[in-house]
Amino acid sequence: MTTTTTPRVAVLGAGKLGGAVTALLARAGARVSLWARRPEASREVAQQAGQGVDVVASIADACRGAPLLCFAVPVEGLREVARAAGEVTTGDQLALHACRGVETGFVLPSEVIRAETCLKKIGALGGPLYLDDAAHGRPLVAAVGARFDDVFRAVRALTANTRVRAHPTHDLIGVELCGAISNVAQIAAGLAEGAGLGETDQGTLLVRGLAEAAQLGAARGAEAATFLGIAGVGDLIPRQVTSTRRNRHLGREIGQGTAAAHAMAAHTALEGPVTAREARTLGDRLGLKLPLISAVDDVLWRGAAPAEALERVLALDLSLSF
Amino acid sequence: MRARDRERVLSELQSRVVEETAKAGRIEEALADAVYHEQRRLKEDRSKTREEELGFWRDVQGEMRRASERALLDQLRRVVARYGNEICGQFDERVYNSVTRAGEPMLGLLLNAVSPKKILGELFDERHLPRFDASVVLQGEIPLLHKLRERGTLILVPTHVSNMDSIAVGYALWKLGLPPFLYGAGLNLFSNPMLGFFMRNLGAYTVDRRKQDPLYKRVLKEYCTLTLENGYDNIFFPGGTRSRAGAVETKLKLGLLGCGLPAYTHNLQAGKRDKERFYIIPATLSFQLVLEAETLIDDFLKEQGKARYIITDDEFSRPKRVFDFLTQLLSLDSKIFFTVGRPLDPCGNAVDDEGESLDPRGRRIDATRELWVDGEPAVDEQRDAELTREVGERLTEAYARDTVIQCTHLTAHATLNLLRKANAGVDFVRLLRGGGRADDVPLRDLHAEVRRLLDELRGLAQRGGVRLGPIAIDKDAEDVVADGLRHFSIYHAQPAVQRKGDRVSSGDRALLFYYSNRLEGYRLERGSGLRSPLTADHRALAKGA
Repeated sequence: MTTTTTPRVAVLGAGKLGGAVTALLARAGARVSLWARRPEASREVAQQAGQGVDVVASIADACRGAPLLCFAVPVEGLREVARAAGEVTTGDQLALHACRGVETGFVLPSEVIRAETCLKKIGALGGPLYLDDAAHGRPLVAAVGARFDDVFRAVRALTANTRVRAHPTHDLIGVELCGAISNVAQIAAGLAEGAGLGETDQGTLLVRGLAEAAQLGAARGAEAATFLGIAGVGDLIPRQVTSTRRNRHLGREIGQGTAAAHAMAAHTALEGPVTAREARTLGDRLGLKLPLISAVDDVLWRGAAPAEALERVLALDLSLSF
Repeated sequence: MRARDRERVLSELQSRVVEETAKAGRIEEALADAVYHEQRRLKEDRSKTREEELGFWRDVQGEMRRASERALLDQLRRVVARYGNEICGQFDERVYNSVTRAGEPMLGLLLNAVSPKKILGELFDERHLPRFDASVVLQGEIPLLHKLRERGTLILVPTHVSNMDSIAVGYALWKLGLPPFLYGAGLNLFSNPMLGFFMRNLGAYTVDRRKQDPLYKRVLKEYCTLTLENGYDNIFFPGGTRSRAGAVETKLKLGLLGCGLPAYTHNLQAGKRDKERFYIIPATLSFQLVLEAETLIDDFLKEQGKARYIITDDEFSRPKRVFDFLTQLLSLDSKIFFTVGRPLDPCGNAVDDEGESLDPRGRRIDATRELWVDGEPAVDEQRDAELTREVGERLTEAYARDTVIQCTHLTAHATLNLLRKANAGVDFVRLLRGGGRADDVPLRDLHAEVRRLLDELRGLAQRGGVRLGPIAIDKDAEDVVADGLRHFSIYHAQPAVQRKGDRVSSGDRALLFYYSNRLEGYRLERGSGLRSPLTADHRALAKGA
């Protein structure tokens, strides 16, 4: 079913995030063109969201003429979706994504969209982004990282009548790195929990994760302040963030003794494991010391025992610098 | 600028800047700033025009005191017009035509113009003029350059190593049969009356870097914008000032390049879209020897903060030095490479052979839509600054790819590597100042190190990551070193590298560092086990690092 009117926002993906974004936009009075790989998923979301949502059959139909495109897919599916979008995108369109991971080669989500489309005005949503809060009508807080102010203006206009508070920053890379590495840190915290370590140790691991994200950030041109702001610390404090929670569960299972390969096969489309592997590779190449990220990589991909790998990290000096 | 456009452009310039200042409610503030900055500058000034200039500013100040709103506006118009006239200068098409008709000797003439005395005796005697036709190699995307010239306005953005660049670029454009491009030249280059006369008539306009007044900078920027809008091809040297360390530019000062987008957007708004496309053309210049190498590296190595932004007393201001440099350089059959890179559209997108913009996957796109605000082309400062920053990134990539590595660079880089290894543990700055016990290294080792560098660079060149000069491309390390030594022996007071029997040493390690730096940024240090001196603490030696 395609629509004859010009859609204002294209939402690509009808998973938890895509569903929440669609509902939020529909409530705010925007017109949404929703595409998902499984048409029944988009129909379900559309039904729940009520009026203002058109389910469309192709990515091209969703994107054509929409001033704003929301990529609500996990990073592993992003390139394919972006490539299809790139067939019809124009340079005046804006893009938003909420991926919390990287592609092989440590390619950031915004870089994937840049490589596959002509879009340049790209924003990354980060920070707590606790969608269950939004579903209960409580304020939703997010960081929006974008190099172009057009993106902030669009987000402000769309959320003017909602309880979404979007904090703008030009540090796009910083926001993306905070989100990606926080998933790795949450796996570490889950491993610690599963292995029977205490809350203190879990907190220590999360903070170290943030410091390691900042180190990667410095190498990629991000600002230290981003890691201490809503996208970094702000993301750590409310621990029930939708995407990180699942990474934490993965860690907990492995910490409790499930084989890593087995656990990862059961949790598909999780962004943390690949991010850990790629961040470690990048860190090694740049000569950075990333003990936490390396430990998670060791446990997930190289058969290391969780408790021992984490104890080694916890024994290290914690004079972190941002 | 052509006479028929001059008055119109200057009047449009005046009304734009004055209107904008008035709209922002900043007339009085802008005037007060101008008076303050100019009077402060003139305190130190020793030029002949000082008294006249001081008089002008005293007058403006006097008028401001008793001024009504209207009178203030008049003063602002007066100041803007003065700046505009100074920047624009006079261009006489007849002079341009006669100079370009003179053909090959033109550049020799230009160079000799540096020295008015010389010009009398040797002006039309071609035997005394350096011959450029065999020495300047034009390569790269030249057919595309011609094609795009037909389609729109060109913004040529060459690397900036030496003051010789503007002359070499001027020569290259003439040789390519292109009409003159406008370019901003430092006021110091106009101080020589003969050179100034020719430069002005070959498209140069004046940039006075000593002027700190924001209004002056605003006028300069608007002037550039207007020349582009009127279809004048421009040259911007984006490094701003010459590369002090001798390395390929990695962080560009974008300044005037930022005029491209507003100018393009104004044209789109005026409906000139198809006639007037804009193209940004990266270009590199590569010399075996650099005229001002000693002064530049000396400035780079000065403690941070003491480096000079504007150098007025370098080798370029000594006519005999320029003349000797060129005749000596060209006597060695040395090549100067002018390499035209792949053009970009003003938003930084690649373009195809028809000049159409491409997305990263090579699909044709309508780049003008990047400049839309609510469905119409509109100027947006933040967006334009960001797009221009991206253009800068594309340019640095192009520079790295299109730099031509020559024998002097390889010989210097290899020698410095060996000296660093032989003096392991010696602080790098101390080493540059002559410290360390090992003063020379075996020639055999130099050959081996050059061979290693050649292996890496040839691989990189095959993948399109860099270009190699004629000997470096396919000759043995021994030939490369011999050519490097030959060049170093002819020009600088102390050679960067010299041979004594079967050993080599450096007569001037700062100079050695300068020439060595052309190979920085290509990650060649990985194979040598050394750390790049420019990415470690020593980068902090660079001004503004």
